[in-house]
Amino acid sequence: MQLFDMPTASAVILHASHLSRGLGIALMCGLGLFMLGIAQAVRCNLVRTTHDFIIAHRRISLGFGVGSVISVWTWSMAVMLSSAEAFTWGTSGLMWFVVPNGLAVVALVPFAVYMRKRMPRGYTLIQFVRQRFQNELATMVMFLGVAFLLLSTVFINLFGVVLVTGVIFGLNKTLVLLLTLAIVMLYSYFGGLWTSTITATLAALLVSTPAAVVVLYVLYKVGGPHAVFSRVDRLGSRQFDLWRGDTAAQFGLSLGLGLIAVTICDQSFWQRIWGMRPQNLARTFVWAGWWFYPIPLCLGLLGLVALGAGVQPSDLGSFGAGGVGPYLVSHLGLPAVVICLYVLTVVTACYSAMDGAFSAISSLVAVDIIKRVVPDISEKKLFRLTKLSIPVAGLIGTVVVNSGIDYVSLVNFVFFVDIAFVVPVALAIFWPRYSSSAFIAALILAEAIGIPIRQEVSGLWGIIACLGTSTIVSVGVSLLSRERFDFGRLAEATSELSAVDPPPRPEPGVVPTDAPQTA
Amino acid sequence: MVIFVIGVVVAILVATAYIGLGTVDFLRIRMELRQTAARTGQATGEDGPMEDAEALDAGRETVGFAWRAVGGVVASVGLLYAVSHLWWSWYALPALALGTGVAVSVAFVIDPTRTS
Repeated sequence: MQLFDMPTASAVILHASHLSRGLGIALMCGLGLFMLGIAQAVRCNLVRTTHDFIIAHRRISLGFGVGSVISVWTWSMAVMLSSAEAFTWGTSGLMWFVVPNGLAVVALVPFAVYMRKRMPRGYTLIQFVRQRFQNELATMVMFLGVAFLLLSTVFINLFGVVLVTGVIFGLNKTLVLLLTLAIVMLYSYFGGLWTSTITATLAALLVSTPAAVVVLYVLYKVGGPHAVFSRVDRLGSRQFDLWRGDTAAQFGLSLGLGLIAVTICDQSFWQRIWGMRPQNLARTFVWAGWWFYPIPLCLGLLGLVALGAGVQPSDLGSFGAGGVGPYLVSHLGLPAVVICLYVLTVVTACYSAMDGAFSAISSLVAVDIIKRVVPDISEKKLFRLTKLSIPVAGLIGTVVVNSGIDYVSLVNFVFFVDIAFVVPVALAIFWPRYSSSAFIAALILAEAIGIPIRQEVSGLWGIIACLGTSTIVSVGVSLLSRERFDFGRLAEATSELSAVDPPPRPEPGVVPTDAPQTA
Repeated sequence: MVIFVIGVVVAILVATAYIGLGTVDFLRIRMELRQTAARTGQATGEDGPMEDAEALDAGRETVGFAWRAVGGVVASVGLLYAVSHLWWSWYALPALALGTGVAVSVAFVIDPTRTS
């Protein structure tokens, strides 16, 4: 028996493995039941109050922190897009997809550490903006940016499950959408951030380990990496050209810049930042970023295998290059258990990302809506309404994805819009002279300039315009003002959901002498 | 086939350690919360020690972060360079994917905030 598989002369023969629809549904439901069991165990042992539900006692450990951050960032589309980009662009596509993804997580370290230091008892990014600027318009704009991003996370992950189950099992799109939403809403409802953290940590295992097993078997099945390498090499030098310029121009640069915006505006991350032990923050995000890399890198090999196997874009039908991973796995004659492991990887990635988004939405609802509208609400009612926000968010998701609108384009648009928030949020955290007027002006002008350029010229130039405008306006307007924010005021703010009474609010019309002047 | 079989064995070992260590950590957190609840007499709504956040030295915590970020980029680009030139380096990627499970397992063990 040879240690390394040697190349064979025969070509790879592709034929469909006809797996039953029932198997696909069983996989989805089985995983859901398993996660529901975990959620129940978590709820019974760790969750009693709204505070427990949305911030996990601020006691998330290093292991659960690293595992859940990896998992929340491993979207189902990321699992399949890595194969797609390798199939389309060769190893340069894989590089431009994977590297910014991992970097975006590590780049959160200074934001996480400084925010936690300045606002140790926080819950949401919107709460930070509200206390930082004391300006309702700024708060509203931030809320919309964060809320739409969370809903977009739900949509894009739903698309991933539809894709994989459609290609492999031929499952009906509407059935998959409704089943996925129902499953994730059900177990998210029980346990909040603790459930999300612990199921996501399990999901990190269920995504990384099966991915390795599936890829190893696929490599064996096609004659080993030497055989694939030789076949792909014969297709032309560009497949293994890491530095090809067209990859960067066509999608690499815009994806890279866009991903940074997603992590900074993603309440799924901020919720964990405030839910973790502070000493673990830096290490959590560094480790999570580093150990996220291997997952899409490993699965990206499927794209190269597909190239070597002679898969053509026309074979992939309406799903396009995104379907290359599922197509390859279901057409190589792999054992059903290996195919199911691949499906498990994608479906788990979807469930964990959606669960993270639902948990984050519940924190927004509790802190930024309910407690603002009804500050004296009883803990019991608050807890009930907070949990209810999850099925409501799921219902919104159901309506949107079944409406027939092109929600993939909608998601891309929301990601673009959120790019305008990167510089303002960063400056709000680090620069005491950054004013509320600068924040609002930067966001409005960045969108007003960036969106038309995106429509008329290109996405990349739109991103550059957006970032450039938000930077120039943010710095310029702030320098014109003499405001200087005392970050110590954030640390004094009492936890909004704690048992301790909040400090008395100022009388209307009376401005505290040390408050910044608002726009 | 040998490589695949080795991979499956390692995957099972990694999964076993991962789940075991995760369960131990869950039970530790549960015990910690019960002890806190018993000490304070409240429902489990109390945060972890807030002096940890107040004592956080943000400057020290972020020292070297840029090097770590660059290190991750260099390592992943290096791997892809190897994949583009050396066929046997392709096995490194599934191995590293298994390494993700190992890393999280190690994180459960070395958590500096563990009190037990």
